[in-house]
Amino acid sequence: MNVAWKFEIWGSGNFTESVALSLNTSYRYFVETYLTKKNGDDYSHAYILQVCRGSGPILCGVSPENPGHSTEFLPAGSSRVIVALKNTGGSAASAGVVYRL
Amino acid sequence: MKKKSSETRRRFLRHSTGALGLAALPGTLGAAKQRDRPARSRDGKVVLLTEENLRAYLVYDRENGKIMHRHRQPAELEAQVGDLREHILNLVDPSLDRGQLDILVLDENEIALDGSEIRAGMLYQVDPSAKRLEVARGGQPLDGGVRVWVFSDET
Repeated sequence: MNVAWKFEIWGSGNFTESVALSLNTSYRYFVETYLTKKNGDDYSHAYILQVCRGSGPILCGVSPENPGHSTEFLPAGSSRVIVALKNTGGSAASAGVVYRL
Repeated sequence: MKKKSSETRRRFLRHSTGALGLAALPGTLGAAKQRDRPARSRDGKVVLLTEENLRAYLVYDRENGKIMHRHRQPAELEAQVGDLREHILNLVDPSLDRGQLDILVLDENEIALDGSEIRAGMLYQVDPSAKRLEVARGGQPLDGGVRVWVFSDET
């Protein structure tokens, strides 16, 4: 198992921030993302927002923020994953890793 | 659009992360050290994607300019996603009315279209008629960010 990507997202106020990470369709991946910091009592959530499959016609599945999983084995042929951090009030930070299996 | 020097960018990073503690200050903690000196993967391929490589897409309400979602991705991905507007709006909270939303693309994600730096502690929104960022009392801070590292040939 190797690390393919490492990422951090941070910010303050009311925001949803997302970032797209490209994947090699020849491999399988495991994604995990988690909150690393929260300042304030308001809502924060680090989650997997979208997974896309295919290199020709690309099919993307959106995971709404609720329930929004934070760890996932990606299906074979995944070409892209988008991770997100939602925050309302205060500041928050998340981090995560995409492992190539 | 003005290009920032590396020193200006370094200064901005300090400003942009100041409100959030030391976690992203260059050279102070593990992650920041990796940014300056990225670890090498076994096959020796290291590509460090920093803020400079990620294009930012601000999804905003076209009536009041309120920013609803910030998305970042490598500019090259645009060629793969087909309808860019559809692709970006798919990421937004489904409870929002898509017809009310528009997208502002920033080539360098901390720089407003007029070339000025986005500064920590300031509140921003989009001016819907001019389609550019503006400092606004009812806006939101943009002093956050995304940092990614890739350790193999995923791209």
